[in-house]
Amino acid sequence: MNRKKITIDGNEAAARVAYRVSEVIAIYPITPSSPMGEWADQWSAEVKPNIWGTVPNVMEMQSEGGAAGALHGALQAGSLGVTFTASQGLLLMIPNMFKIAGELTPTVLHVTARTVAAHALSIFGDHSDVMATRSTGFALLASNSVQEVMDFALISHAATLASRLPFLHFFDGFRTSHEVGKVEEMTDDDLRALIDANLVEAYRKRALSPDHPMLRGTAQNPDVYFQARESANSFYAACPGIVQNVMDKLASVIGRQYHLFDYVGAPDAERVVIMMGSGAEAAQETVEYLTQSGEKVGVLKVHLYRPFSIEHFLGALPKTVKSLATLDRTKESGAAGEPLYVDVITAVSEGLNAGTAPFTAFPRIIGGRYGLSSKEFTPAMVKAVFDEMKKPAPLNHFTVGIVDDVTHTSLEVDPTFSTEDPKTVRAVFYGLGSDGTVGANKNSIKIIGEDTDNYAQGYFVYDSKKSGSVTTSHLRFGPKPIHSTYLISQANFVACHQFSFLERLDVLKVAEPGATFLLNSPYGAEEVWNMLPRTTQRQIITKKLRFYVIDAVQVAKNAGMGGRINTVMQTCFFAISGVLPRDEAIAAIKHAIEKTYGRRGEAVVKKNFAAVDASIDHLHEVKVPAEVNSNFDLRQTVPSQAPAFVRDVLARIIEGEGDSLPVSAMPIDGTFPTATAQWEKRNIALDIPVWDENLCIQCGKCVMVCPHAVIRAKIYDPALLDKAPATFKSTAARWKEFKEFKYTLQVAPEDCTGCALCVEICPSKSKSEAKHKAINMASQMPLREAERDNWNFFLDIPEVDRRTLSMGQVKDVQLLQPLFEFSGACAGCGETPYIKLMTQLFGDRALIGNATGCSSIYGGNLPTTPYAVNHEGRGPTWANSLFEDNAEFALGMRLAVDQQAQFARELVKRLAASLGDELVQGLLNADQSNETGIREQRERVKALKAKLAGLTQLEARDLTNVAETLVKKSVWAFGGDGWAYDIGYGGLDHVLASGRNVNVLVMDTEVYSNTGGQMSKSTPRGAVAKFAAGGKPRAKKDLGMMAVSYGSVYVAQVALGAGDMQTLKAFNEADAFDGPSLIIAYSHCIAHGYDLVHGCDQQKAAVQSGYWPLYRYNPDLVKLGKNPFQLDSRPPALPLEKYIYNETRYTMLTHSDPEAAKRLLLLAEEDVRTRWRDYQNLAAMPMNGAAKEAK
Amino acid sequence: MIELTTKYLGLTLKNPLVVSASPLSEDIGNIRRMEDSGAAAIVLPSLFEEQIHVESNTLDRFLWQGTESFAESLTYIPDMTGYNLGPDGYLEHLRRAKQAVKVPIIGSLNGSSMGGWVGYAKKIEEAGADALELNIYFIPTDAETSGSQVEQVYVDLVSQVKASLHIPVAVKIGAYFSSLPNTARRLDQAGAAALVLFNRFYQPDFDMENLEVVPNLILSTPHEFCCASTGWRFSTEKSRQTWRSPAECTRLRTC
Repeated sequence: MNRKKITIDGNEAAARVAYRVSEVIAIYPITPSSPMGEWADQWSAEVKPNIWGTVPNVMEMQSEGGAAGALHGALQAGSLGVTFTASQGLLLMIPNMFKIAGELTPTVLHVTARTVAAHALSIFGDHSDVMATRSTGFALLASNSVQEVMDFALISHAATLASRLPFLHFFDGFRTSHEVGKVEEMTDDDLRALIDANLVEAYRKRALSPDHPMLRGTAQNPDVYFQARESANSFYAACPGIVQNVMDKLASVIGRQYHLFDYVGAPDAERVVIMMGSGAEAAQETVEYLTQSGEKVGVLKVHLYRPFSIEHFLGALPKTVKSLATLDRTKESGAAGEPLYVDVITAVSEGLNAGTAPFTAFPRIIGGRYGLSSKEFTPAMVKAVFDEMKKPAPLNHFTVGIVDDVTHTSLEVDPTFSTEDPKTVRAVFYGLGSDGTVGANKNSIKIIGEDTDNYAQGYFVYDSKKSGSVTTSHLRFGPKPIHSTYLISQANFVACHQFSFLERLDVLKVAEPGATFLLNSPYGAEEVWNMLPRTTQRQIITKKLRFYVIDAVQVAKNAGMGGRINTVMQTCFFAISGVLPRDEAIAAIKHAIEKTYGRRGEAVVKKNFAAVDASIDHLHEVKVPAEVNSNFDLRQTVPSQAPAFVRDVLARIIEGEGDSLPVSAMPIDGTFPTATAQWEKRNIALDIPVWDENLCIQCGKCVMVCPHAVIRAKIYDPALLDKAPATFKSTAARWKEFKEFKYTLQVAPEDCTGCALCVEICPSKSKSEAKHKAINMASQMPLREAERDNWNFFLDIPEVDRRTLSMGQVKDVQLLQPLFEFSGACAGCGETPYIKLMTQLFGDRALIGNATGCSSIYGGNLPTTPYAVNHEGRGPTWANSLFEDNAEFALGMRLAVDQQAQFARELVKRLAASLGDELVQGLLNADQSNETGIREQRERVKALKAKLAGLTQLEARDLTNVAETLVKKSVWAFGGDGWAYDIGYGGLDHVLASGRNVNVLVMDTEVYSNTGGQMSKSTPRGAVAKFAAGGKPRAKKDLGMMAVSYGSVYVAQVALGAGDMQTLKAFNEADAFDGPSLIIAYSHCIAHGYDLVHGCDQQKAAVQSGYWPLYRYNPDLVKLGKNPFQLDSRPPALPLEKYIYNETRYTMLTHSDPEAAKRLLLLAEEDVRTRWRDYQNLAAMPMNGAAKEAK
Repeated sequence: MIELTTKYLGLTLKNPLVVSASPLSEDIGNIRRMEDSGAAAIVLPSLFEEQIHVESNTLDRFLWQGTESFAESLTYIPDMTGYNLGPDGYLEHLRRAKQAVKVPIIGSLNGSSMGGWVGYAKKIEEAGADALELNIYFIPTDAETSGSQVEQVYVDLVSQVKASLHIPVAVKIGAYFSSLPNTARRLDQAGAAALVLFNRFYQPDFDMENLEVVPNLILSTPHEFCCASTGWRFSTEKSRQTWRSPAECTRLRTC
């Protein structure tokens, strides 16, 4: 049988099997498992059948809990079902897992094992999520490589039917799920050979059906529950044997033989390491290396972890074993040991007691932890474990891969130990997100994997920023199967695809002596050497690298490819590395281009071809001088005046040296300081805005719309200008009240992302010079130094006194200091301006609960975070709990603040005699409805604390601890539509119903932006999204109206780009409203598919077309006899098409399915008409009763 | 009974009324109504090579935007298996139009590259068009390009296209030539079977307040019949040239 060799990643491997043997697929996206669900959705949309010739039913649910519930229901009703998940998502499925297992219902959960959030969230891989499900009764089956994922996926689906136990098939998140490898595909016939038709029939017969009705899910009592629970024991006992039979069956079909426990190593090994997952591949590579020199070592790879068969476990071990080390990729704080360690000790002691162990003496057993959150696990670390096992008193409960200088659990690792095969090509590529480097490398792997006999592996490392991010591709090619499940540290080819990386990264650190270095350089072979920093020159000389350059940017531009240099660099890689003959490589690259982009049209293919054809002529080798002669080196990561924590810890992370940080450097409880983003100067903008002070009308719109707080305005005393740098601009302030002041609009040149939204929104155009406005974009490089000085001077100018400003005017409010700056959000982000506005208004007294999503990532992803402090050291305090609980989390903060304030008030009263009547009355009766009132209360609290310091009563200490809560606090729940409309809706609803003073800001991008564009209930009708590839068939949920229906919730629908005054009003009113407030904020997003410089134009169009009406519902107006519902925008004046067809999320449907596009457009237009009619009616409603009396 | 049949592009038409390229003929229903209402031939709306390229590049650009930057969202928009970009939709429409009516269907093409003109022309012929109208819309912007070079572009284009087709080729041209009769003759010699004297360049407006160039779509008016007929309709049958006078055009109200 000739099975094709394909290059795919772990997720695709699992999905390919799961899809074809399933009928119902209920999912919820969560990194890194989302692609599995997306594959299923895509194939279903392409009408690809399963092995029974029918198309599976794929449904996205509102949460993983919902997916598990839907799956459970589908299984009970007799369909073969599957789902995909990880981490917190898996945890949300646990209650259903108990039920599904308790009901002996076959199914498979494919899990990309990911860290469960503890002190922090992590999207990366370890086994903590899977281990949390041990007691559910699911069988747990581990795959270690991409090929195994495909094979074990089928084993799981076959074994679950045979054993009736549900299976959880897991593989390491990212390390395997996203690793691209060459595997042998499985045909439909292979699948049919393993999925027993009789078992499927038996399964169907057990289904719930009114034609043969049965009852499940009874409630049982103490008299019978225990016995019933024990009744399934024989199924668990039989399962291991069944799984081995399935493995044997699979071997007979595809030729690869697996066992429940697979041993690799010396047959007479004395030291054996036991582990599961991708780390076992690195361990295997190490064992194979060490045994060549006669070391008696081995690795036992655990595949079937539950049910744990002691018999099979012991049977797999050599009888010469003297020492065992278990490696767990999880941490169970407080346990006597990690899961695998505990199971191994149990198995060995039971085996010895029963006389069934292969050895007669109890081996020394130690257990350790490795690889948490995808921490690297290398052969050097495996060797460290083997070396530790040689010691007379080896360390137990050790860690390997980190430096633990606190509790001293870590093993010493020799970083020079390597098992890399010299015949393997090891290539590392540094690219910029969106320049196509990763895609090109994936194609290269495909080409080499499928067009040659070589094995190929690709692994990609991304950045924590959403724009201007660095991507690192690690590619290996070789004649032998690749088990190197770790990053390349000794590359024989290094490519740097962005010249600017050289000034901040030591890209050649990974280069081995004699390697080849390819650089995308605007400087030719003659000039480039002098433009390199010292570190780069040194590396090239000492390591004797071969050095090539190409001006890929120019070649790409000439070919019409814009900034996409990928095919240019890819062609050069093949030309230099010689992995394929040049002409063959070019033909293969072109073939890949056609396959990948052909469907987007001939024009796209042609320009890619043009880029390929032009590449080689522009590739030049550089003659390397003998000496380092550069007069500059890598940029300093953070300025020397940064705080110690930033300099010593965060800077290491920025440099890519985070792995070197020891345990002692990290906060013990996950607490980090705020105001750190200001120290990370990214310099990613090619162009920055330049102010023309003569044209500026000082409206503040640019300041308001800036996503990154890099353009700011201040008014100040002109005397301060005496010390201003030479190029610092200023002009007379255009305020009646501040006529004598100066005004400056200043840009932070090193923090700007170049999105140009400020320029786009600027209303002030020159009457004499076309296209010239009060701000205009200009090249950053020449301006960098001067504007850096200007910015630093600007920051030192004192902030204006808040009490002198009008909080209802955009112009005034935009003079306020933003306490949210320089986040890692996309350039042009539509969410961040709302957050920034809130921090300008209330930041110094705000508590924020942030749902998981884009806002928790740009709000809290290391190394540096954007929430800042004012000169008093006050600023927003922020925490991300989970995804589904954010409204409740914020409510909890409100309960705490209110309770403490209540307590404080009581204590003030109790201590009245010692505090004095004036202070007590002032504190208890403070009017904190404006800035003046708040400032006065702050002064009082300061005086209070001073007085308390001199008191001896116990209550004085209590009151000191809660005194600050006497100043009004603003509690906010931030999140996107994924949280508010879907997974967190239940909690949000409860909070809205609670009547408590929580302000909810929903930044509505109408799609799950952070996880790559899956549909939410906020996605509009007719828009394309993942899981709505044919256009969302149903209308957008009206979350606002659902909240309005309570009658006691403040609700506002806003769009900052269309109505900044209305947005400002809404924020002020929401904070002032003593009850739950909900602001739904239109947020343009990269997932909408257009150039975000037009974000505000689209917001205007959304409002003008009536698609996004602006309104405020304020319950406080009722007692004034007014209609609480105020419609703030005008009736539709723009055809809906003129709004939506500027966005690819709508236009792509007109191409892929024009009929559907037409049909959905008509329905969407009707949606707009109906909604407008209903809102207008609500706004026009006459008020009865009180209104009549008032008149 | 006045004899209304005539010949155009070598095709025998039951009368001299031909519906020119317009969005009306995007709809098969309309095409049938045109035939029912007495039209003798129908020119389909133009296939714009440039539009195809722009749509293609725009889709590619925004499917690409933001990808491969952040591990949780490596892509943002699902990539479909097909987008019906390219001429397929147009060609399918042409085929269906041919099936729907008996009168000749004339394809219309606005190319932007020599390869595009020839390639798409062939496809239109293969799809069953009875003739092809080339909508040449070339605005020279380079000061180095002379008038005769512009005319040569037109001529070369017509010859290339004609050389690759069997069906007759009409050429739609505007009036902005130094010597229209000379250009007309050269196009005739290059293989044009007819010249359609009607072509308007889209003319943007200048917003003097904002100092911006703004798109401005002013649709054609009946007045432009007269302007067009100051040029003449030429019908060539290989060797014979028939020149109709403006007076005759006005009488027949055909152009």
